Amino acid sequence: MIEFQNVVKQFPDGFRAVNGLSLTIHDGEITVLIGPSGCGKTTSMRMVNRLLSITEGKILVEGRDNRDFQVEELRRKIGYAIQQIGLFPHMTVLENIAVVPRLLSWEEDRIRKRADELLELVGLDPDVNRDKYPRQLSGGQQQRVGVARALSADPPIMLMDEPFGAIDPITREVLQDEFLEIQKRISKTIIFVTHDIDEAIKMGDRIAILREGSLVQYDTPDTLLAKPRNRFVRDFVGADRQLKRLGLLRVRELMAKDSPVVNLRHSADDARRVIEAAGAKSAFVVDEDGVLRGWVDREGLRENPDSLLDAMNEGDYREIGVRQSATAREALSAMVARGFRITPVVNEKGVLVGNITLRALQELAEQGWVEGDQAS
Amino acid sequence: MSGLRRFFTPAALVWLAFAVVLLVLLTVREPIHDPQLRAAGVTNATIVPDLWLPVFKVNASTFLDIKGSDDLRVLTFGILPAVVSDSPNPAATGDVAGAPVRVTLGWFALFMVLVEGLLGLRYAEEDEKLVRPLVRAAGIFLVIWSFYGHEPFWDWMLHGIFPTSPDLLYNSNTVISLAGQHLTLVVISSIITVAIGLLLGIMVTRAEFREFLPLVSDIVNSGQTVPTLGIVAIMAPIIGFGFWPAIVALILYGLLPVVRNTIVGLEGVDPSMIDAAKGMGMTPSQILWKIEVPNASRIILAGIRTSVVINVGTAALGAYVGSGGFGNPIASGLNQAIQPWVLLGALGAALLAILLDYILGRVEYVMTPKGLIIER
Repeated sequence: MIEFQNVVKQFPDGFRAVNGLSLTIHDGEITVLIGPSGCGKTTSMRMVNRLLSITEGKILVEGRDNRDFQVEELRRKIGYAIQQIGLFPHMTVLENIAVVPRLLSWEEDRIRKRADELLELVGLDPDVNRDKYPRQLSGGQQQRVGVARALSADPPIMLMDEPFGAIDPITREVLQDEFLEIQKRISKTIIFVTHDIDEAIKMGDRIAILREGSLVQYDTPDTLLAKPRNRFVRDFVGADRQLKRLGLLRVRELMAKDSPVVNLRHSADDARRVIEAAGAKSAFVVDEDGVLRGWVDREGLRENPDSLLDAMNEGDYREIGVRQSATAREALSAMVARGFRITPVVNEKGVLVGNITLRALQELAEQGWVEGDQAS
Repeated sequence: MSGLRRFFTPAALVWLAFAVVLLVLLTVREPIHDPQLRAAGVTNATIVPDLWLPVFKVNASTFLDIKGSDDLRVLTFGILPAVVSDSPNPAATGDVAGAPVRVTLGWFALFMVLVEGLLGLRYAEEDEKLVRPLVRAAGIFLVIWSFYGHEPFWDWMLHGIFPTSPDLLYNSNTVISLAGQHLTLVVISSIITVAIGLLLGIMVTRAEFREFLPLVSDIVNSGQTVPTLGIVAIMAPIIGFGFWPAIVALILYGLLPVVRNTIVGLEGVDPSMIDAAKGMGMTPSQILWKIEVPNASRIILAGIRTSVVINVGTAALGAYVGSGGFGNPIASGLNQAIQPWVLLGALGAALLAILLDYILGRVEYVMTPKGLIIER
């Protein structure tokens, strides 16, 4: 949908901000442009909706050279969200969202309906917030309105320039998560500029690393982390890139499904047999519903040979297990904190669904996880 | 219904009451009970709010004298009985009818109903108590009425201050006609000043004409450094004496605050807001009128207000080229050493300045977008 073809941007003072950039942005994906300041990421983005002119080369939007569009028409079909938000303080939330639809001469009824829909989408109650002014909103709420405004005319393409940059870290996390949820539903083609590698890894379907106006590497986050092309990329993604990669994987995809399990009603002998059969040091204990209740190990069985209930270590599944939706990084962190080498994996209701071992995570980090399902 | 209720705030209602009383009086015919008048064959008088105050009109050329013991008759809207004096006061007849002010107090009151009503609509939630707007409205009303429309009031006041002075009231014009001349000077020059000032300010902040910004601000600045009397003196031989040289001087002198505030206001609009507007596909003129001007309006309006108030003071100098206004009694009073005249002119002009400042302050409040005033 968007294609950069040998794009060059030279400013009047002779500075070449973008130097022969060629890049294909895939439909329905978030493509992150990242790099140190001065790398030309924002400049590249601003050439897409022609806030900056292109010196050489061209940018195709929907297969057409973007200079063939009438400039306002082009911009109205591209959503635009920026770090400073740029909400208009003299307009209410509704009026802010209505700007582009009004430019496109939508019916007022349709605009109102659309605004309510968008406010719901970004998690703001329309009845409470519709008629408020930007000054009456918190920074996070303003940014939500900014996103809603960028989505107002349902543009197929969105440009986002550090949209969560000016927000405190906690709210930023929340907004990032929410935006990913929204993107799952709306599947826009998004160019997302940031300088924060963690944000890039989290938000991006693909990441383009730029340096001095040129593309250094363009890959999915996991490939980028597993196989940085050169020293620059390696330094840029950081020394903890292995850990970061673990952050991309869900426990669900890594866990071993068959674990040594005993039921609360079973005897100590049953437990011993299960452990021996599995060649393990311990087994997980579940109740009739399959909910994790604790674990039992060989030592415990030796001290209390007659009763499973006495031999086992009881524990709440929230404290001893990890959720299957957690990232591998979170699982690792939990294991390190609790001193476990193996940890049970549970679903939302606490039912045991598998286990994950420290060794497995270690191997993953050492060998490099090459191909696999992208955590979706 | 709730909209109407919100429009009629206490302040709006007070002004409405004044307006109704004054405008309805236009058609009131009063039976004359005075035996002298009845003897002269006058049985009815119409109460006409000819200018600022109601006048008792017997027929096209005869007005009842409002000087003397029957002053109260005017102040009380004709509730107290009137007496015809032996020598009709020319000031109360001819001049009142022929003064150049065409706005009656009634129409002014109606205008204030609109201003206060709009404020009510906009800031309904911050509803004011009844007493304050009532006192405010009544105060302004009384000031206008007694100072500009009520000759005997001046007579009484000046006599109190200068008990020994043989001359009290200015002998060639009534106070109301002086106020009218003065107001005409200020209003006409201000309208032209604002039009030119806004145009210049907007023009030099556009990219195409930005190179003229230093030039324009230099010219405008020098306009204010030249003494007003100097401008008046230069204009007189060129344009001649009378109304227009004074207007030209006032325009040159009043331009600075308008142009400066327009430039400062427009330049002060957050660039990220303009970037967002551009990115959303607004045309340059849409950005100017829908984004820049509303956001700069507060500062621009403050400039206009300053300019108008300055003009009230400056207009007094117009007397030297024969443009009329409160400068006349000041100049003549100084020439002939008649202190009451000087006081009359100075007080009249000062009150006019305060009055205009108040009215423009309310207008400014109405015209500033709510989103820029409202707090969290």
